Amino acid sequence: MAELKYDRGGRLLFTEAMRKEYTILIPQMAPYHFEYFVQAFNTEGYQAELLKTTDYSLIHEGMKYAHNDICIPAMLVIGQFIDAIKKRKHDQDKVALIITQTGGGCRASNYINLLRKALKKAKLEFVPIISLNAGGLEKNPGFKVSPRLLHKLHDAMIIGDLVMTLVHQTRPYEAYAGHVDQLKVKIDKDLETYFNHKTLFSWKRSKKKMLEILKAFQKVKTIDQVKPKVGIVGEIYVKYSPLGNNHLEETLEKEGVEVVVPPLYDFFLYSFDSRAHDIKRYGGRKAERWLLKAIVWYVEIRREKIRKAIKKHGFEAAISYKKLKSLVHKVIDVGTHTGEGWLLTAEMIDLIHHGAPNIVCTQPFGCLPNHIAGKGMFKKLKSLHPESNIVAIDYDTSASRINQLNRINLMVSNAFRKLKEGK
Amino acid sequence: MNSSVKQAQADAAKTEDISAGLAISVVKNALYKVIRAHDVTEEYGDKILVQGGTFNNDAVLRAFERETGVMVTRPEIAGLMGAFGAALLAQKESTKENHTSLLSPHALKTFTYDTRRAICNKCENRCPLTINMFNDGKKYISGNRCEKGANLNVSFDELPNLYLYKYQKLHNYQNLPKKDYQGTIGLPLVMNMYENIPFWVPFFSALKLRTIFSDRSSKKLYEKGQDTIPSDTICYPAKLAHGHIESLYEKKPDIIFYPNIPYNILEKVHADNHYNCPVVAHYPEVVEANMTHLDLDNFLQPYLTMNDKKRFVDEVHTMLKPYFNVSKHTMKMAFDQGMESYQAFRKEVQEEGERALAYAKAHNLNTLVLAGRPYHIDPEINHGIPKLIRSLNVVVISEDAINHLHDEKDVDVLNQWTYHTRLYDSARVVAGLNARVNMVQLVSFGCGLDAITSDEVKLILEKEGKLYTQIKIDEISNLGAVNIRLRSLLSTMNEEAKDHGRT
Repeated sequence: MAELKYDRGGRLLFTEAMRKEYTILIPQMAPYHFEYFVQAFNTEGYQAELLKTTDYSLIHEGMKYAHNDICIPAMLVIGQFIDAIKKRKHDQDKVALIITQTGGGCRASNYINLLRKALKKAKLEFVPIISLNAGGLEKNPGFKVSPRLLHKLHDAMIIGDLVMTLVHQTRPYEAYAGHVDQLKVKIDKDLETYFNHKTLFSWKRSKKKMLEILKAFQKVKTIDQVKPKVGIVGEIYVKYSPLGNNHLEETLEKEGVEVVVPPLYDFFLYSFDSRAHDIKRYGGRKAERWLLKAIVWYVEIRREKIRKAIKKHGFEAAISYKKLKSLVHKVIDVGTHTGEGWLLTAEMIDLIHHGAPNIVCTQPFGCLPNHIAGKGMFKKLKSLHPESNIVAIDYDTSASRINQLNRINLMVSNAFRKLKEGK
Repeated sequence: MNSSVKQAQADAAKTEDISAGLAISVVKNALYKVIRAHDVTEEYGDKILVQGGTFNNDAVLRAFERETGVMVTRPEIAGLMGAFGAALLAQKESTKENHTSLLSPHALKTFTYDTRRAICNKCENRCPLTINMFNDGKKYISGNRCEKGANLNVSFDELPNLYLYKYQKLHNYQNLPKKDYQGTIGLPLVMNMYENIPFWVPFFSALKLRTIFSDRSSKKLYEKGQDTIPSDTICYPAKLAHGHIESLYEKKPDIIFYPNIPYNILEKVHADNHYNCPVVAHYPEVVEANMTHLDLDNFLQPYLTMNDKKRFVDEVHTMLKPYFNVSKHTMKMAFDQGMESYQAFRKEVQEEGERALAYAKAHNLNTLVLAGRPYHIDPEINHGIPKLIRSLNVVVISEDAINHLHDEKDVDVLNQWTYHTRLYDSARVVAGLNARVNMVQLVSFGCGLDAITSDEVKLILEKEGKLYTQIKIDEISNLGAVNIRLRSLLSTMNEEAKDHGRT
């Protein structure tokens, strides 16, 4: 039984002993990626478990323990955690939680503090919380991101983006219903062994695996059919999480469209790049800036190879981070980087350029950055690209699904009408 | 709520289920949103007495029982208990001097009254008044925000009121027209400008540039820019920016200057960071993207830091060079002058805050620290609440006038926004003062960040046994409810002060 240890400020630590005994709970955010993150953790000596609950009790727990005006991602993540711990009647003292801490002027930087407050209220303050961040905040003796784990997470992110893109491009056109979903289950299973390697880097293996995945998707038998493309952009949690956006991806595919979701990796590169940007503009340590730049540079080299391979296999690949950034020139300054900032605007422009002018812009109700880079930019985008067909959807515990659906359906029917007129 | 009911109807739920759902949601709303309880048994015990007319509804009572799982008692007079309480309190407080003015049955029979509507012209607020005239010649006026509108022969003008003081002071910064200016700069009176005017005016003056402010906020000014507001759910202070820009364009300055300032001026080192909120920081981007009917060539929205003179001067110099004759050298001096003036302004506000505290103590008056953001001093945003409080014979202090008296380091949340740091620090100051001083937090509707600050401010105050009061404000000006809440807060404060006097 691991002993509870605290740091000088009274923060409960995740100790070396806990590492062996405890299960780390991970909240679901991006279904295509987090599955692989869990595998990366589990091959590095942790026991991680992804929370997939979506039932109502979890929202209730969130409303009970978090301020009711806080944004829905915080509410859902806190609710999901507390719900999961409460359901474990016998080993509540054997779980730890992990949450990302991004920093920046958005209220999301506060999630970890709100989670701590909530645990205290729920009398679960003996549950340690691990902060996953790039800035070296809140260290824990039992949780160290080793270079190999870091590399595995990087790999998981790239593979997650790849699988997401390929599923989106094949599933709407599959000749046999359920084919793509079955393929994905198979790939996920294969990846379990894939992540279990002892070498630090595995460029060759990684490349081989990705080509294997590409080939598998290439073999999916599709029917020739033209469907309108609908992009999903917005606040990072509600953009990817089915729990946050009421299963938006599924809803759209059922309406008969092809869904396009920009890669998750861009958001992480954007976070590093934004910090580098601020150092240049407002002052800070130059060495830190160069390190951040180097990370972006390295990741982009790796991603460029995948993008080329994707194209070679007849699929559409996302554009590079650099190109994405250049799209907002004269639209919004790249200094706007609280929350999703300029990246959100850039993704909308990119979608319009690539044949998906139909866009759902998702945000939690009261999300301040998206007032600026989301809704604030619609008019400008509309004047630059009259063909754009963007709908903003607010997510909130009390927002009704029917209102969201009505707005989405209107956008989708416009997309179909435009497709007909265009052909 | 409305849309949830519609959703249930669309899902073909039965009427009785929808009705049950409503009863449950009334209870949940009260428990988790208003009271913010999480463990009812522990906080309130396992026997609970409920009161209020809502509990006359059996379904609500049952929902409460089921939600809390405790023994609940509803007296037969549940709906009348508030009235009984008020009557008992009146009985306790009544003396021979303040005898009842209740009408006799005879007087009630012949009672008549007449209602007239009027606009109060005693100040720029122009409150719409409702005047009730009774047959005995007495009048009752409502709709007014201050004592002047009520036609009372008392004046509270000498009471310290930081909101009025700051608002007045900022307008005094305006330059007078003089001949040797080389050009004009328009500054919109919005968001963080309410804080930074004391910097910008001397800064531009030193560059021989005359500053012109946008008009004072009003409903009319708001409506002028309303059609270009892209997001309906953003806070009212941000929405007002559109009207201010319109008003500036009418004044035809050479350029309009509205900078993006993501990082605020570094004020306290103990805080985790010194951001502005995303809306304060980047609203100029929204103005530029949406007010496209205007000639935006003269709209300048640089990205600035006020904490690094060299970077600041480089940026502003590049920006202004095409328009005016400015050198980096003079701009550096201008920056120093601006900073000096800003620091002097902050110091004066803080001195006025200390004076106000001392004044209240010397005159044995109640004090309310009305805590919000710098732009809440705009009477169109605060709807005259500071004046309303003054008319209750109460000293009003702003959060930025006393925040220097304490450093609240022990905050449970990430303390990374400068204006919020002021909230926590001033809440701590209030928590340490006697029962005659309390805090009221002003929250703009739609402010996502205040979901974080309000819980924390509440915690700081309640740790020391203080009451927490929050007033939400948006574009609708309805002070009736605010008035009732402030009066009940003040009467609680008076009761407490009395108790302290006895012990």
